[in-house]
Amino acid sequence: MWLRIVGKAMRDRWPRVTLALAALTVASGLSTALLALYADIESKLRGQFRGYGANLVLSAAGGAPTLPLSALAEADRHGEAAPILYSVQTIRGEPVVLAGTDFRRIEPLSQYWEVRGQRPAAGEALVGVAVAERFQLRPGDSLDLGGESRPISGVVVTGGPEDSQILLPIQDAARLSGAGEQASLIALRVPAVAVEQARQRLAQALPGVEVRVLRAVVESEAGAVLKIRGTMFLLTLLVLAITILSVANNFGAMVHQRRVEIGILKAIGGGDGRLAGWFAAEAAAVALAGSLAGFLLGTLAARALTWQIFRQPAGTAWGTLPAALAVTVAVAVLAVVAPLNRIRAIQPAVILRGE
Amino acid sequence: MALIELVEVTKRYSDALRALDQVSLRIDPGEWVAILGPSGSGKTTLLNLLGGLDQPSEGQVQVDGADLGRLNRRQLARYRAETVGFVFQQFHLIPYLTALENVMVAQYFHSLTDEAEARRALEKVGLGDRVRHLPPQLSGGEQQRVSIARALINQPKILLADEPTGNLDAANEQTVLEILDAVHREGHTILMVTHDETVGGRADRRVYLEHGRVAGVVSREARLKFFPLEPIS
Repeated sequence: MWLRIVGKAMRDRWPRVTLALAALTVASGLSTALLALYADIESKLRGQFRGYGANLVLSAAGGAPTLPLSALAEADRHGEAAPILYSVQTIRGEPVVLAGTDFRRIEPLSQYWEVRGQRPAAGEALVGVAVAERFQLRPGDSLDLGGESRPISGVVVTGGPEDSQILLPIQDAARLSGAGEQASLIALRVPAVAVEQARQRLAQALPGVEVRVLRAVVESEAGAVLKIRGTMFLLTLLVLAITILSVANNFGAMVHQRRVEIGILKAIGGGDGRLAGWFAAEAAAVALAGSLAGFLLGTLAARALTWQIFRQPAGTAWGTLPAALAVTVAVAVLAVVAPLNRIRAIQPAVILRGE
Repeated sequence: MALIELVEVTKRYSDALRALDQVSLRIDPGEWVAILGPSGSGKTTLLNLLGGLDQPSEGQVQVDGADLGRLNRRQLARYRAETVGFVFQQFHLIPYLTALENVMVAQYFHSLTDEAEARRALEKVGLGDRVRHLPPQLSGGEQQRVSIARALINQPKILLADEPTGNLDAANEQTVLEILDAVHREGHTILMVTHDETVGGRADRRVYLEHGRVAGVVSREARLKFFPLEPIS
């Protein structure tokens, strides 16, 4: 009987029920989308920031020019690391900085590099844009380095010191400079939250090595994550507050519309609690349907937004389903508190008099 | 012992408006009492007080030993579900529930629903073939009969009827009055508000209200006589 009455009451008031369903679907959808992005934003932004380069640099302590490449193994335990070996060579009578590195390792730390042509293989070189302009070099040309003719695989634009350097595989650079198994520095990227911890552990594990934090990168990364998360959180609260007002208004109107029916039901023995229970059940049913519909729509929206912002695919965040469900039901509960109180205030004698 | 006893009951809606003024009345079990009087005389207010829909400003309303003025909201809801049945002039059925479901709602508030019993109640008022109809699909007389079936489904001690024939044509009025006659013969106590002397004439006793006060009481036996301001015993 209970189900029959609630079901028929909902069917009878379908325009208002549909409106409430739409509002709760929007609330659930936005919550799902924002929660999915919120949960994923750190890893996605980390991926983006990773491309902006290292946030820790390891160099030899005490003024030594190089540190042993064996330090790389320790650095690898904390994040993505790449060695760089600097030397100076003369090209056409002018000194130029050679930077030898492991191009496979430097790849994730240099996604902001714009390479015209290819990154170099063994025996090749990548020249900075300033070097290319100075010596009129283009991809496919050759460059004489230490008596060896070396093909230029590409020209790199970074906006940084690499623009004035010649980059080549670290083994080639070591052979040309005679440095052996050494590096001038090791660039290291660790998650922003773990930078300080990584610095301390590396300093402890590598006594002859100076570990420096690149503050600007770390702070901008942490700042961006916090700001974006904060904005999303506030936006979610705003949407939920608007939804509560909207659904409360809708349910309030529904109670007002049904005040005669409520008065009659009270007159024939319906208690406040039981009648309020019917409305609460209607709200719960609408909230449940809205949660599920919103979860589906929100997941699709989160996928579209993730692709739009990060150009990366996003999976279905099943973990947000309980949260979306809880949020939507909480919104519905908050929204029906005032209308349910109004049910209690309805006096059948007044209603049946037609007032 | 009286089933219903009103002792100097006053109902004020404001300082200037007294719907009932020092009304005293006793009604015995199985009695059919008609409350008559012009509009605004306090007839419906009296019915609402007896139905537990309203509370007196002063005095006592005692029904079956219970002082309604002392009952809380929950107890009043139980009282309405178990002790009284309402029949209204406007029928007041739930429009989206069938005739059968309208009767079953009252069962639901009382205790458990019993579809067969609800069906029998509708058959008893001549609506055995209309149980699946919605109120808008029924005539006024049929709706009122559904309302009577709903009021009686829980075997209440008292049937409270507010202008039960007020919205009906002569034929339907006759049908409803015959049903009330039958209900009365079964031993139910009926308190009926009406402005129609002919309808009121069916009752054992007629109580006349004017300006919220009892203006007179006429028994069936003395229906041709009128006793203005007769003291209430």
